[in-house]
Amino acid sequence: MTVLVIEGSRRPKSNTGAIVRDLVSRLAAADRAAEVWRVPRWSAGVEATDEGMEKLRDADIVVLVAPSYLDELPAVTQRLLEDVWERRAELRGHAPLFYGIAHSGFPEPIQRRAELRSMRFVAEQMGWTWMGGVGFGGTSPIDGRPLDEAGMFSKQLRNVLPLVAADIAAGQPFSPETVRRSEKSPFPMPVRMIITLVNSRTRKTARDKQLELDAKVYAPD
Amino acid sequence: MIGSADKKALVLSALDVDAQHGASTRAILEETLAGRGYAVETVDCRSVDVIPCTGCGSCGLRTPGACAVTDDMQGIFRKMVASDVLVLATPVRFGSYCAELKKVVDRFQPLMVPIYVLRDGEMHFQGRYDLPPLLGVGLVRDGLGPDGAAGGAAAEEADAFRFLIGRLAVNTGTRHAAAAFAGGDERVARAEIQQAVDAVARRTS
Repeated sequence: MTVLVIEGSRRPKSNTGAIVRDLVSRLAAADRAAEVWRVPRWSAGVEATDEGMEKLRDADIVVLVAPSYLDELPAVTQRLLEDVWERRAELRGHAPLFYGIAHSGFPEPIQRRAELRSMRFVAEQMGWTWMGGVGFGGTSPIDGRPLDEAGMFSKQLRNVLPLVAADIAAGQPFSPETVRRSEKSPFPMPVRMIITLVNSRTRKTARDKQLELDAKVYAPD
Repeated sequence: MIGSADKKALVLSALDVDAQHGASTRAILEETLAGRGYAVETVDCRSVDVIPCTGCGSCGLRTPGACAVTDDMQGIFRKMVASDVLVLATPVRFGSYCAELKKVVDRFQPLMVPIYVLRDGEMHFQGRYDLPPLLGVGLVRDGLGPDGAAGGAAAEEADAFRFLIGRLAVNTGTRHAAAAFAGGDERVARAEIQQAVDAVARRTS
């Protein structure tokens, strides 16, 4: 079975990239070599999608990994998917298994619900088989580091990605256990306490650098 | 700019006016807003010079509130914070904004302060401005039925889009949001849009 992982972020040193690399290595360990297709830049020519369409035609399994920007797929990823939909006839009815993985800095699963639902619509409208979606919160502090080097900030991902990879490698839908564990709060303490700690650090940085955090740059004169 | 009222409506539109229902939906929306006393300005997201957010984080802790990318977005921010209602008009794609509008929405980060708050029991960024009520106008592929409901698969996409507009309101700290749908019978679309505009207008009067 050929696996294609779509890396749905153009950000340099992205958490999406870190998740993709970890997932690909786990799939390789399970004897499922995976190719990666990074979403093209907004300004990329049509040939960037040509290359991907070829990969899609060859893939038995497609995994989309993307960050949540304001609860949804980033524009570059949305655009790629719209392009693929417009060109779906070129896939000649090929219908891979399709999995979705969303992540964001916010801990609550509701903050990734819209994006995972969009991923399901992609599968349904492309005529692909929807195998389920998982969402991870609290990923911001990973800051693009390899998951093994991000300590407690990547603990949730390191715990659950083996289950994610095992489901994908077996070509089975994400299990209820995989979904349940992905939705657990990644924080070792209540969110209110996390907010107090992070805000306190941010305010100190702002004081040290003499920054006005709530500057209203675009307010009417 | 349509109309010259004190109240301002900013429409961020990714409606394709060359596609079926695109031009009529935009016209209905602008007429309805003008008819409710708004001066209407429409920004065509398909033609603006806005590059996608690179997630550089500058607007957070390097130059708080200021986007590091200089393009048409600075003008859009100014219009947004000065408006009394913000409208996002888009073809609904996979239950979401189309990419041309999402490119603009992704750049909203400078509207938020890098301080976390609990809002509706969720972790969010603190709002930087008192943003206006939000109206989403979605053009669904299969249109609306005679009762105003989207039919078939479009119904679920319309539901997803309505949810998304509500989520954007929570994310940006706007306290009121409404959504309307178009794509089929023009009379039904007009009634939907009028109803949604009235819902947000009550918040700005």
